[in-house]
Amino acid sequence: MPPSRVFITGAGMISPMGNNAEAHIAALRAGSTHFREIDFFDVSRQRVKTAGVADLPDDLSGYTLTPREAARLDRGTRLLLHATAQAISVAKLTDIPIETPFVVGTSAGAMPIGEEYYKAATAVPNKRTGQFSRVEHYQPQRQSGTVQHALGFRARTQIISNACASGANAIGHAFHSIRSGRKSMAIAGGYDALCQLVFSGFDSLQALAVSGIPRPFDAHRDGLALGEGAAMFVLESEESMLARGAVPIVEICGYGMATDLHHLTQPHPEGTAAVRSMTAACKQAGKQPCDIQYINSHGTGTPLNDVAEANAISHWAGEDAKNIAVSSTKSAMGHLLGGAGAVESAICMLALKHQHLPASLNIREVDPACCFDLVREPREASLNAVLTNSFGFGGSNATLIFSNVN
Amino acid sequence: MDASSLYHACLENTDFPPATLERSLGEETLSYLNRPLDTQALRAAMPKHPRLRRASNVTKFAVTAAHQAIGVERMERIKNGELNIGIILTFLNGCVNYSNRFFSEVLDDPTFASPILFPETVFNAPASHIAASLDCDGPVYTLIGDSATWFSAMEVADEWIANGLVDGCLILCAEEIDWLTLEGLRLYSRHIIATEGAAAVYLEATPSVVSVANLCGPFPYNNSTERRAAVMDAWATHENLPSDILIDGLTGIPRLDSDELAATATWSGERLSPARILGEGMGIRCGFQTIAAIEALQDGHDSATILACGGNQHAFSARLTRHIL
Repeated sequence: MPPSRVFITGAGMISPMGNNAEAHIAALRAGSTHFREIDFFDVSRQRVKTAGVADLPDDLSGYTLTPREAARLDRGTRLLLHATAQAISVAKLTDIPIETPFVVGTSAGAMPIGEEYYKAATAVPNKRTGQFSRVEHYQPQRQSGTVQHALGFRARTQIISNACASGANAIGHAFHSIRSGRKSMAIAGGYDALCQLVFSGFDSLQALAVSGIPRPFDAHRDGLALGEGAAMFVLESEESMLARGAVPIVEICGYGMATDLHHLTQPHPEGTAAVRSMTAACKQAGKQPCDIQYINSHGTGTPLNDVAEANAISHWAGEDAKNIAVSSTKSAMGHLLGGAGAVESAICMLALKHQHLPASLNIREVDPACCFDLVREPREASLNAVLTNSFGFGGSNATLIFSNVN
Repeated sequence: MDASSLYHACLENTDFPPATLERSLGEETLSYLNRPLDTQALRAAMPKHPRLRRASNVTKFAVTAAHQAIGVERMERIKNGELNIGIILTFLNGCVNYSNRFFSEVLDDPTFASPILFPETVFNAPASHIAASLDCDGPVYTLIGDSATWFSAMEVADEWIANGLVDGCLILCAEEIDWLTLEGLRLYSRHIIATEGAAAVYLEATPSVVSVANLCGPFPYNNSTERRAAVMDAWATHENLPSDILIDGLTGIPRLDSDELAATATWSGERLSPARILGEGMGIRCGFQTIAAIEALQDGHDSATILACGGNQHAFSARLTRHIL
C-alpha cells in the first residue's frame, strides 16, 4: 500500500510575535523583533534580563474550566491551550475521536509549577498547602490532560521531550503515524514557557546574548535569546480530509531525525547529524536539495550552532546551496525550546501560504560560513517546498519538509 | 539486582528493609523511607564511558540497563554499522536530583549556578548518553508520562520497526530517588516506599523466545472516574486466560490499588506484584512488571499478562508469550 499523503488542515500559534497566524505574518512581513524585560520571575542577578515573552490571552471564558481550574493554569498550559484551540477551530474539528493521537513536544513542561513546589518545600516552616496540586500539575501529561478537558475531548497523549527538537519531533511523529496508515488524524505540535530554572541554566552556560539581541549567522554573534510559545496542528490523511470536507493548508512530505553523538551540548562542527536528518527528510519527501526554496534554520545565534548548521547545509546541498534562501526567525522572537520546532513549522506554513520569506534580523556582518542566500530583509518569493531544522541538547536533530498543496 | 533476582524476589515475597533518607529544614529533620540502589553494585555493573563521569544517577541506571539489554554481540554490530537501532527512554520524573541541586544554586545566587549541572537536568540528557555509549546515531526519543508510558514506547518502537526506520529498538525507563520525589509521593500516601533503578528491553521483529503477543491501549483518562473505566477497559479488552501469570501493578496500599483490584477481582490465576516487593518505582513500575513477566516465561510459564494502570494519563494491558525456536 502506498504511503498516505498528509495534510495540515488546522494550525494555531502563539509566540512573542502574536497570538494568531495573522499577527505572525504581519510581524514577519514587518521584520520586527519582540524582546522585552522578564517580569514574572527574578532576573535581577542574571547577566541577561530580557527574552521573547508571549502576551497570554486573559480571556479563558470559552473553555470548560472551573474558575479554580482556570486560576491554576501555568504559562505553558495556557500557551498549549491557546494554540490547540485555534488549530481545532481552523480545522473545523467538532468531534475528536478518543483514538486520535495528541502528540506534543516540550522541554520544560510545567517547570514553573515545579519551581513553586520547590520553594514551598524549602520554606521554613514547611508549607504543605497546595503541594499536592503542584505535584500533580507539574507533570506534562497533566498539562495535556487539562487542555483536552478544557476543550472537551480526550485523546491519546504522547509527550516527546527531545530538548529543542521536541516540537519538530512531535509533528514528525504524528506525520509518520498517518503516513504509514496507522492513524488517519492527529493533533500535534510543541510548547514551552519561560521559567527561572531554564533561563538561569542557559545564562550559566553563557549561551545567552548579553545584549539580549540574537544575531544568527552574524560573524560576531554572541548567543541566543530565549523565548516562549506554542504551535499546534491538525494533521490528516488525504482520505480523512476529503471525508470531512476539510481544507488543506499545506502538505507535510518529509521527516528526518538523527542523533549527534559529538557532545551533550555542542554540535559536531561539520553538522554531520544535521546532514543526515535533512537527507532523510528529503528522501522521504522524494525531493532533492534543489527542490527546496527556503530553509527555516535552527539558527540559534550561538557561535557553535550556526557554523555547524551552515556547514551542514553546504555539505547537504552542495552547489545548490547558493540558490536556497535561509533565515533564522529566532532572531525575531528568540529560541522557544520545545516550542521552537512547532512555531517554526507554523512560520514555514505561513511562508508557503503567503509566498513570503521571513528574515534573519540583526545581522551586521555575515558569517563567511554562509554559503546560501541568507535572507536579511523580508521579501516575496515563489515557494513550493520549504524545510525546517530543529537541533537540541543531547544531539537530537529533526527536519521537516512542507510543500504547497497541489 | 538483575532481572532474575527481581523475579525471584517477587516469587518469594522477599522483604527488603527500607532505608531512611533525611533532610533538615530549619530545626526540623524530615525523614522518608525508601529503597535506594546499591551504589557499590551499580559501580561494578556500570559500563565505562567518558560521558558518564559527571552524569546523574538516573543516567547511570539507564546506561547500565541499556548495556545489559543490548548485550555484547549486538553492541559490536551497532558499532560496525551492521545493526541500526532506535532508543526510547521513558520518564515520569527524570533527572530530579540535579534539578534540585541546580535550582537550589539558582535561588542562592544564579551567578554561581553550575553550568555543568544544568545540561544534565534536561529530560533527554540520559538518552543522549545512552546513544553515545552505544554509538547509536539513529532515532532517539525521550517520552514523558505516567508509568504506563513504557507501553506507549513499545507502540512507538513497533511503528519504527514496521516502517523500516530501525532494525530493532531499545526501550528503557529509569528513575532516581531524591527528597523532592519522596515528599511528593508522600502526598499520595504516607505508606508509599519509593524505589529507583532502570529497566530495559530490546525489541525486534525477528522470532524470539519471548514475544509481545498483544498490546492493548492506550486507554486515556483525565480524572479518577475516567481512570476506573480506563483500567476496566484495559483489562476487559485483553484476552485474560487463567493459565497466564498476571504481573500486576499493585502496591499493597488499598486506596492506590482500588481500580486495579476492582478490574482483576475475578482473576483466579497466579499473580506477582513487583511494586509490593520493591516499592513505588514511578516511571519504572511497568518496566519492572515487564522484566518480571519475561523472567516468568524463562521460568517455564507459557504466557504472562501485564496490567498497567498508569497514574494520571493512560492504561494498557499486554500479553507476552514464550516460544520454542
